[in-house]
Amino acid sequence: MNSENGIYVLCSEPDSTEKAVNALLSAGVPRSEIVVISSEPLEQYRFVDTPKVRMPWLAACGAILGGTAGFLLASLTQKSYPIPTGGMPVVTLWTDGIITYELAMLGAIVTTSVVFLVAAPLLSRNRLPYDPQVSKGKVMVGTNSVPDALRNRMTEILKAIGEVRL
Amino acid sequence: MVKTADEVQRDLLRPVVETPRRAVSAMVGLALVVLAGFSAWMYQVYTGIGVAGIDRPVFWGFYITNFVFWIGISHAGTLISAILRLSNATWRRPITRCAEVITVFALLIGAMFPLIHLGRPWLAFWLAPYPNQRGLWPNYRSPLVWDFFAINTYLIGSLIFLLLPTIPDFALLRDNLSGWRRKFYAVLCLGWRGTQRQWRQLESAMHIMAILIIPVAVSVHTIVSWDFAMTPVPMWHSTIFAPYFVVGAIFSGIAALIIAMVFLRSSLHLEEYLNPRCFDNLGKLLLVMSLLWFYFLFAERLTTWYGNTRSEVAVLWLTMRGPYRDLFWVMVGCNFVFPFPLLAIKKLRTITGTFLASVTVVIGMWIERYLIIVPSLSRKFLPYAWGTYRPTWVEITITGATFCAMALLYLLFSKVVPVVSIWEVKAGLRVPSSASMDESS
Repeated sequence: MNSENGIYVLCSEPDSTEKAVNALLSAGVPRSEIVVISSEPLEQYRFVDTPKVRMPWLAACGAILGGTAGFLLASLTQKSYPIPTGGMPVVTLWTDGIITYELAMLGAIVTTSVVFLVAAPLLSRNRLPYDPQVSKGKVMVGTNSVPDALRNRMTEILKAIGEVRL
Repeated sequence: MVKTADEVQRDLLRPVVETPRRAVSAMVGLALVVLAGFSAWMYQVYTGIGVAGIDRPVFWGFYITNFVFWIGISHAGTLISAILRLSNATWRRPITRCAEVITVFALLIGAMFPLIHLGRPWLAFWLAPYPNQRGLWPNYRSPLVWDFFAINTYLIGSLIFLLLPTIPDFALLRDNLSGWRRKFYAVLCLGWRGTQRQWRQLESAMHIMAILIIPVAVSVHTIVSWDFAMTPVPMWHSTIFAPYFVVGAIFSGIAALIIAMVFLRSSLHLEEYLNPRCFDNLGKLLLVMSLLWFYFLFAERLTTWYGNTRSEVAVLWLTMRGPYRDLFWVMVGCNFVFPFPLLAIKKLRTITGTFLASVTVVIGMWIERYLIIVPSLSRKFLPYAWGTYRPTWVEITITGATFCAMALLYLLFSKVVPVVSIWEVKAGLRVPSSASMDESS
């Protein structure tokens, strides 16, 4: 049975973070359930698996939606409120294309930011573990689901790496 | 000396945490000038647009010059930041946020000018597309409506581009401050904790945003140029205008960024972050843009002269030999003759050298916007449409106030958000090629 309470260790550098991650893995914690929290991206390290979000594709969908809305806004209103054009077409692709382009880009931009907020996830109501020491440069490594049988052993292993928080 | 991550964080949080007395004095001084500009605008609103110098046939004067100028300045930030992010230039880390802030504030200031220029700003909502009983509907063929969409897209995009990478720094501030400020930043950071998943999503989002924002930035100034190029006014109706405007915008934008960085460097003691290497690289970019600007100017003037259309050549000589000649040659001096040696000779491409070149470029580019607008309108095809334009104190005061508004907004921003991205600089410390903060000093 998994405990509701997780176990976390505060590491002082990425190398000890790697040790902590390996300790959790060797204790049987799946990589997907390991959480690594840091105040900087640690670009060279890939400690955990994160779910793939197809952000570029979603942004492209946003662009299509935005562009369609832009074209419809321009063309439908041109038809509904036609202005004298001296015999030229009321709906013109040249100029409507500019509105379509701008709103397509806006659609992609807004979609990207919404997808980021959802996928990160930010604005989450869940109370997730965090330690302000992270902002002082510590890296927090742990998991939310520790099998009770392993708790004591894991605590011992992680204590050797850094300060343990239960 | 290589700084540790803790030292970097302490240095970059200091401007937000502490407020020196001279910063307060500067803010008060700038706010007074902004207030004077606002009063001048209110005077114009109360009295009528007649207090401005714009009159038949020159209906676009200082206000539209300022509009084009500030939209141009806005190009520096987001565009440069996006290009540097995509090319993964390590020296970008301390300057990206300084640049992105310029875009947002310059756009806000620039977008105010059509409202000021309207004379009756309370009717500005007529520009927005909505059905109404008078049968008025924005003409989608008009470049002014394209402006509405382009500027708003760019403003929203630039704001998001600025705010996304600021979230981790808001979290840092939340953890390092107390009281109401802690609560304030806790709201702004949107619950950011810094999980690997969050960092990866931020990385993806910033990459996509950087790709998206470049064509948007180019389109904005292209469309601003079409405000002019779509009309058959001498020396406006030109196919070269769109790239010419985009180049000019990037040119003035880089200059504005260098000026802002010099002030930030000295006033917030960021000498080790905004180091000579950043100025050297930006100086090289400014040099390239100066050469490109001169190339476009020459190409535009040569084709006009060679075509020898009477109305076009009249405006050409009006600016080069006529009453606008002083301004024209000052512009050429400021944008090319003076900055070229300062930026081309390595020994002169110092912080002082790039700063001096940038100041002249900003002056030169403002004059360039003025010379594009006013001479063409004052000498149209037939003599009945000839006239002159002289700005009034109202226009001059409002123009001066916008420069102070920019500085004031920048100062206020630096009190709320670290102007140098802390997490990006800290991450840069782990990258071997940029490990030394002062490698180029």
